Amino acid sequence: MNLIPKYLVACLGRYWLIHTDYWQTISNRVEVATPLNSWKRLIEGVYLYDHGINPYEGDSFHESPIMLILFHFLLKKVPYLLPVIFVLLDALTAHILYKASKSFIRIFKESQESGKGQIAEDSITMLVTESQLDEVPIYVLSMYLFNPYSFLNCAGMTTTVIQNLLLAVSLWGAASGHRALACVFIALATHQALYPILLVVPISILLANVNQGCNKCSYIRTLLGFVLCWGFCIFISAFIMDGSYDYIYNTYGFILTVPDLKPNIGLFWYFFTEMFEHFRLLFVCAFQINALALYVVPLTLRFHKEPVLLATVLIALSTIFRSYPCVGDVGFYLALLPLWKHLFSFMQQKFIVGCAFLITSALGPTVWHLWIYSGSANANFFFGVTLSFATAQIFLITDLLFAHIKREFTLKNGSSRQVDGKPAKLVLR
Amino acid sequence: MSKQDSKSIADEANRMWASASFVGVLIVIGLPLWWKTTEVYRVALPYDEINAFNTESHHITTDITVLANDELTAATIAELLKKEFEQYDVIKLNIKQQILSEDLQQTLDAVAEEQEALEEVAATFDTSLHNAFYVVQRKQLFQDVWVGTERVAFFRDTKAAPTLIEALKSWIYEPSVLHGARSETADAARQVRFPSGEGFHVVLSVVHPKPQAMKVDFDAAEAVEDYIGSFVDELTDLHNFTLKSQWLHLLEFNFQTNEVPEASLWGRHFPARYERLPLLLTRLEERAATHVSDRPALNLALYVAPCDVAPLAMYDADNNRVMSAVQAFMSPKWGGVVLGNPTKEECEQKLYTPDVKLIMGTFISQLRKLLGITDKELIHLAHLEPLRSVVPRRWELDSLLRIRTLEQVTSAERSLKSLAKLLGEISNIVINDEVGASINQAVASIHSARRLMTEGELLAAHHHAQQAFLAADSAFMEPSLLALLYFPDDQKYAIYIPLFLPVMFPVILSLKNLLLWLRGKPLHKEKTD
Amino acid sequence: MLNLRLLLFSVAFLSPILQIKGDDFKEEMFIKPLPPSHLYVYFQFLTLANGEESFEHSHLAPRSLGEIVSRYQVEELHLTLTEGQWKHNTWGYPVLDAAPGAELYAWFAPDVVDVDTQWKKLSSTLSGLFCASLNFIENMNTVSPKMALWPTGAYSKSHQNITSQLRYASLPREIVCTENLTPWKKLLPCESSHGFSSLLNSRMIHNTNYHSIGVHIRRMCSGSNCLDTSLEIKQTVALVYDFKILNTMDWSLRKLFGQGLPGACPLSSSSRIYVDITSNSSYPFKLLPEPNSIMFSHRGGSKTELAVYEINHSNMMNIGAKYEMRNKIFVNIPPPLTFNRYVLGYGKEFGGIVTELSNNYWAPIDVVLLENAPWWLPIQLSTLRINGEAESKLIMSQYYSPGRSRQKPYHLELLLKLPPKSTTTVTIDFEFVFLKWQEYPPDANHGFYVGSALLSANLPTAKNYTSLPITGSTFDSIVNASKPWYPIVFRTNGGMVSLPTPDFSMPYNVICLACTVVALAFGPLNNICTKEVVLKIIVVPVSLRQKIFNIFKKKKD
Repeated sequence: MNLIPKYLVACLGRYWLIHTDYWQTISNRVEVATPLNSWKRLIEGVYLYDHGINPYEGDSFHESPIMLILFHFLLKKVPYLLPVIFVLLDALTAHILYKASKSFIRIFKESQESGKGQIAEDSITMLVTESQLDEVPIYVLSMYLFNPYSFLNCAGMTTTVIQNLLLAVSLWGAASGHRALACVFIALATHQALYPILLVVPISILLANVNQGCNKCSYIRTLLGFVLCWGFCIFISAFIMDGSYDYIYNTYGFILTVPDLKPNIGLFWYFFTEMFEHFRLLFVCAFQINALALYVVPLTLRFHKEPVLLATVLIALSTIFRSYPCVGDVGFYLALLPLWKHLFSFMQQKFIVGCAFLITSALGPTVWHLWIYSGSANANFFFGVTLSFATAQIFLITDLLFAHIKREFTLKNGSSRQVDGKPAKLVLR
Repeated sequence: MSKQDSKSIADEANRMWASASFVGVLIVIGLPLWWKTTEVYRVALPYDEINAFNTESHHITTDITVLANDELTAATIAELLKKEFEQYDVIKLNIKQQILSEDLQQTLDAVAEEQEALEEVAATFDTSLHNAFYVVQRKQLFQDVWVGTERVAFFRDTKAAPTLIEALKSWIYEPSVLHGARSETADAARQVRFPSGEGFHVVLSVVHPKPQAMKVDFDAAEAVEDYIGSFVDELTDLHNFTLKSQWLHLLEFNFQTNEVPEASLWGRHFPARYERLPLLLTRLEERAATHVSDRPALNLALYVAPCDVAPLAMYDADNNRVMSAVQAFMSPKWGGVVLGNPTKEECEQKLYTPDVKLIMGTFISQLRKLLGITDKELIHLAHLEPLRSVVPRRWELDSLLRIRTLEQVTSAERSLKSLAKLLGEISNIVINDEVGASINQAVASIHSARRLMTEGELLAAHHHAQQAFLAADSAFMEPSLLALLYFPDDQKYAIYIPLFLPVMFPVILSLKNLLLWLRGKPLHKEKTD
Repeated sequence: MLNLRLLLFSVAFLSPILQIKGDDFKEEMFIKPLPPSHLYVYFQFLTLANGEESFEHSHLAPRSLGEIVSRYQVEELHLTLTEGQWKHNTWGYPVLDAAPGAELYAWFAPDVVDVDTQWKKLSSTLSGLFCASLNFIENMNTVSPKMALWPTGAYSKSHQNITSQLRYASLPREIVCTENLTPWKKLLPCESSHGFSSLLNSRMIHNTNYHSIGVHIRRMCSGSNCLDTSLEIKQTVALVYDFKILNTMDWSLRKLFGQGLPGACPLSSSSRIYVDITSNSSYPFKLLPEPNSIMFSHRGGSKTELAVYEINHSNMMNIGAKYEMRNKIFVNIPPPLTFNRYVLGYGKEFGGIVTELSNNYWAPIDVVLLENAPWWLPIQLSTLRINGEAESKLIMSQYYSPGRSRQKPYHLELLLKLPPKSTTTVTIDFEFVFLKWQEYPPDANHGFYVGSALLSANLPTAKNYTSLPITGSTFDSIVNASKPWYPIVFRTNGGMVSLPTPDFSMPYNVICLACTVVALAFGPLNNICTKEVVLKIIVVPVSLRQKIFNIFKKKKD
């Protein structure tokens, strides 16, 4: 199979990058490593734990106790194998995404078949062919293996690698109808980063669709399974820390209350650096509601028939609006974009978004260096670059969604843009 | 077609529910969230009660019993008392009349000394109660009226009534001073005495400018504990006193004085002019370090004059020399200074032993004035027994209790009123729990103090008045009241608008459609040609 | 190797007998030339306050200090206000070392339950008394050293957990000036008109390389069975003059302080001036007038020669020295333990602190290194390296308390065994924290001060050692005071880091821009979710002229 060379090249490339002199720089970069996932803090937490000091007493360690125990074990027994482990995990993520996308394509084919009856005459040509559909998983795999964001994420040895793996496994489990797998892995992902809780909704819809039977029972079973698994994770973590739940303030509390204002590619850091104390609580709540609660219900109501699109959009929105994003998260949802190849012809802002991504990714480290090292720029430059990056991502997602509804309309009503002979255009009303 | 219709109806329902969820999150969750997180924490205060305080209406009720030999005398005295004291609203006399029993009358006529008569009266009536006074007739009096240290005044007969009333007014009850305690502007008596407080530090400083030239044999610690201690022990109902002493060596003060020869043992004196005296206080205050104490300090300083400017003689404002055995002066609200002059022999022997009794006596008299015990003027035909010990007279203590109670209650009320006005006008001052509790406690204490004053329970009234005063002061001086004081209101909108306006705008607009759909009406008018 | 703790425990308990009724006041001055071009002058004013616990009646001791000690139940107190850095490599060891800026540490009585509240009240009151900004001492810059500091006064054996009653804080940003000297002088019985304190002319003593004023309060036993204690208040001034600033090597009291000594304080029971003439052999100078006596002291292998002047009350005196030879080349023999501390790294993202400890002695020395990093400079314990190794054998004991943002600082204590004749490098990395815009001081680009590290050592030799023994109060107690160990607490130099700053002029701009981006997502998503796609006829836009024409046309109709 012609996939093996792809894996080999990607793995070798990551492995090589870890062993260059630039590894230190990459793993310290603010775009790659945030206080939540950086390798340095992981080492610090494991070291403190090893020496009998509670790592949650201070301010440096924000991973869950399960990660603490896992890495404590790994660093003690096989410290030299860790780069290999990270590379292999990334390759595993790519492979699972490949299999998940195969399942997604199967689901898409089925829904396309069942919806053939309502399609307008002249839109038959718009339907996606088998051959086109079969190429998609390979694109997904290549996108994940070779996009620079996931390359840097793996080379920096951040724990987002594990996060991406957990998300990929849960998506695959949902797509193949394995409820237990999906629930366990989404609970683990939520336990680590809290924002994947949004994915419970598309995963339950996927599971209900894949497992035929009563939908409502499926939803309830999924939800129950998720809650039980997540509760169990919390309990196990407390058990590891000798029965105390203090670690919750350092993990979930840290994600929700945003006390650390280290710059990253998100919007929170400069906003809360310059915010007046009196309004801080209000805006923290507002931003967290924006990331967690605002868009779930409306998007679900609108796209409940396409749970895969819902999952992609929710992952992307949580990446843009979360408190400590990093390029690993961006790389993950970019890998899911080839699933929507058929929408690309309807998207109108591809060029702008692509250029914006390129420019901000190159400009970010430059202005950072100017601010922090040369002292000739100031914080506003980096802030502007992160704002542009966020705007580009927002344009990408909204463009994708607009493309989808336009295609939907065109499939249903044909591609003529005329009403009673007069020229007309598509509007939202 | 029906499938399409049902599908479009389902789609429309979904859209409306999506719109409803936006409304739910933003308005149902967002508005209370905004209210709760940006509200200024303000505990509810009893503004009405505070505004209803009437400082001019406080009065104290006190008991007075007229004991006479017969009905007529008692009635006359009581009538005159009532008429005289009616004009004073600050003190209300509760006049009781009683006839002396035969034995007591005879005993009173029989004894020679007033002190024994006092003891006889004390045996029958309880004179140790605060806020009670007895006016007893005794035929054998030399003067019209005799007043001692106990709560008893003797009068001879009805003809002595005007003198008696005068004595009661200007010695015992002092309604003018009480009125001054209640008023907003300080009268003369209030300007002299120390402001009310929970306690004072009494600091006796011995100032010794030239320790190398002369030794001073004076046990300051013992002196202050003995004399001042016995005095302040009587006043424990009013304030807590801590007695301290210190020696300030090498503190020189230039009196800018020239020798004036005279015929005396020394042969000279050095005038200490009136204008230079306050500057001595400045020098003392530099070294006294009273700002470290957490209570106000009553300073009593003994300035040992160096031999080369001894003896110092004070000159008053009219440039007349003050001829008295002890040279001392007092500064209101600071304390008093006694100038210790060594004699010629003491200077030659280089050892000065001050007369402890004289000096401490001077200090006690200064302390009395500083604490609020006023000087008693002479009244023709009335005799006020001079003080034999440092202990103050019982009825002086009662008077002090009355003054301080009134002062503290009115001061507490005024503080609360101005604080309530401030907090009411500026809406973004944080009122936290402690301030709220202090204010509520102050209001409650003021009410109970008023009630107790009217009932005549002087000790309890003073206790509550002091609590009210301390609570009101602590609320007024609370530093947390300054938070948020300077955040301008209009700039709040600059902070809310960028996020909430673009978000609320479409949501509010979509409310119309949502309501139409909920009522089942069609959303878009179908155009028919 | 001897446990520091055990030694001080026993020594403090055996404090000497002081049987003085009433208060006792002594003033002393110690002058030591520091070749080649500096002069060390050390003043010590000792007041011993006998009396009851509450210090309500004071004779010579300052009443304000006694009141503070009794009100806050303080057992021992040390406060120093210093400007300048003591150069241990070239100047030897001072009598009492002090950290640059303000430094305060105190032990509270064992029955004090809420030590933190008392600590805050104590620092606020001292701040008012000395006009120094000690009120900036809060829980977020206070530590409780576990190994580095031990009390020098008497305390009873029943005090089990003495380190829980200890609080230490240092404010490196404070400056010391006349404002602090004046209230300090007021605490002396003679104030500034008589005695040695009249020499402390602020215009002259602030013109020095190093000046430090201090107040040290401790309890001394008053009786051989130590059932009662009396309070010893020691006020110290340490100055280092530079001959280049004085323009001459021939120093005299008049040149140093602007006036001669106007006699001793009439209240002092002993007023003495000690001049260290040990260096007379290599840098000969002649003292004028002749000293009253010369003391020889053999202490721990080093010989010291002290010229003593007894000062009485009457006459003005001016002690001076005349140097005979000039321009001699100076060979510096470093003292047994020297150290250096600096900040590594460039840029405002990461950095490191390096402390170099040099043991120049032929035997190993045990030291306790206390690193007190503020909360905005998080140090990473996993990057601690001694001479480049992670788990070094030189560490005998370690205590680490991680800090929390805005709540407590980072506290690291290491008990190290320094091998003989070697330099040990202790490195630890930190990263910079981005503060909220209102947490920066007014001059944000000036930088933030990193305080000194404390170094506690039991020196095996008394070379360059000038401190008083623990049981001694006056200066003559150093004569022949050989002991097995000489305890001393050093302060290294501090450092300065430049934190990355946001743009302070931008709060509303940032709010607008960030909120705009959030709203950018809201609009389209709201439309997608709540609106349906329809075809709408493209209407040719009517020009304004046509619209007005239409209105008139309608009216006409």
